[in-house]
Amino acid sequence: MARYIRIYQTLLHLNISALTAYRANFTTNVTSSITWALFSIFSIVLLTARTSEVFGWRREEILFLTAAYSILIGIFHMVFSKNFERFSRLVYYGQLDGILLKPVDSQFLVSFWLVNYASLFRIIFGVGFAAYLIHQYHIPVSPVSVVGFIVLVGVGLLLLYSVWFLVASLTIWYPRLSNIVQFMYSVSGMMRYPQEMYRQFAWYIFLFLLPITFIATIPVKVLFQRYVFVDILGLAGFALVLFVASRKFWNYALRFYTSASS
Amino acid sequence: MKIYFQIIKNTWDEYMVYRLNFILWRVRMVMQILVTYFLWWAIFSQRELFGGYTESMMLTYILLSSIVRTIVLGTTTMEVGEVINRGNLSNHLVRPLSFFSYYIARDIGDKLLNFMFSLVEIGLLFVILHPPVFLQMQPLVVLTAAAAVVIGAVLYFMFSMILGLLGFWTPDIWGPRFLSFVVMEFFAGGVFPLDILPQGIFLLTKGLPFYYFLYFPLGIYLGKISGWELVNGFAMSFVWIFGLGILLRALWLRGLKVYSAEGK
Repeated sequence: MARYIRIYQTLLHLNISALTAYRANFTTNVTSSITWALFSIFSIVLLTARTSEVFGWRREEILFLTAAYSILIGIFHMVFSKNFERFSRLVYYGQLDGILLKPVDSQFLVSFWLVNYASLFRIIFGVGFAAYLIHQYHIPVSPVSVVGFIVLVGVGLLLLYSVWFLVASLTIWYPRLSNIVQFMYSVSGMMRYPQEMYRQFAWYIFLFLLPITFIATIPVKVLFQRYVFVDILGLAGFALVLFVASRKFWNYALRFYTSASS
Repeated sequence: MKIYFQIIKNTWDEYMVYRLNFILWRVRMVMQILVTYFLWWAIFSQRELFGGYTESMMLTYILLSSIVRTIVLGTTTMEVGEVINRGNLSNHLVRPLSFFSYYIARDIGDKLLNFMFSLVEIGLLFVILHPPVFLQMQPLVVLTAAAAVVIGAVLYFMFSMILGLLGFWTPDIWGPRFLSFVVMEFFAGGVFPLDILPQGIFLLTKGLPFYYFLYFPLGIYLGKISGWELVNGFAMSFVWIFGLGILLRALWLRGLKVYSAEGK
């Protein structure tokens, strides 16, 4: 474990070097990231301005869900997104060879190689908005509920990562499936709305989306102390099962890697 | 003319080679429609009017915008920056066919294919969801809205091409494109109709080209834009076409002077 932490520290340093080399790119990324967060918050503020409750969620709860989504997706974009974006490229051009030959876990390397520091600003923005909402709406939070929220955000991230990794592993068979990343961005975007909304979908679509709908709503429910134990169990259960499944599926998929183009 | 049909056919063939990729794209679009649809459906379950819109008008806006989107925002010009950066523009320059004509034909292919798929998808959603919809009964209004869609498509082609031509000067065009996408999605009325925004912001959107991409044609169809506002809207959209046309030409001519066919 300590070895992997050291490797990740090195990767963080290398990514900072890359950031300083492409400063203009970094500035645009930061601007895009903050603009995106601003517009999504503004949209939800506008939509809820004349509504006191939607799907059993009060206005401040829905706004807080948007803040939680910003934090969650900010961390995800910072740590994982860029790595998933290069996934199909690695497979298509046979660059996965270099990773498989290294004496380090291949899933670790393909997942953590790149870091998008620009998304850090989105996380800060989300935390700031969350703090503002707690202050503005006098949301009663306790140390226990805050710790619960933070832990469950971590569990939610593990679940989101596992779903992405499972789907991205398909590129071993279909290397030109570049739209899979765009598709997953849309799927991930669904977690910013209350889980109850998706119950309106046909049962088979709801079942497919169920893990995603847990990711942001459960930590928020815990913070607002309106959760049921089954919700937490569901989030943790999905995260654990899908993480194990993603590792097994990756190792299975590698058997079909042909190293074409290398 | 034959050559343009061949380009359209080639674009379709290209999409059909990567069928799964295309299907994923369409599934993504349907999921986005469903999410927005149910969000509005929930809001209207508690009230009859929102920002001057009835439930049927709002749901019509959402469903119709997904069709208009395929015609206006469907484009292949996203690849132009990379074509320049990799030096592949050289292949286009030696062909007896204008670079812009090639991409217009390619875009028509993209728009037609996506349009056909979106019609089927919306048809299926109608059958499954039975949404209350607003039917515009005046043929002249429908025709005017259709004309606005064509203008929106022309404007977006120019806008996207301008972003692509930045590739003459920088390899980092992903950033400006993504930023413009974020801003455009909001100010074009892709998230919700622009006239539900606070008055000051709504007036600001009217001065931007994005206004003509989605909101303008949909507003005409729903009867929200008529009379002088309609005439003014068309006049402004022509001003934008003229302005963007001049900018596009200037960028192209200047860009060719600095083009070094790097990568070839």
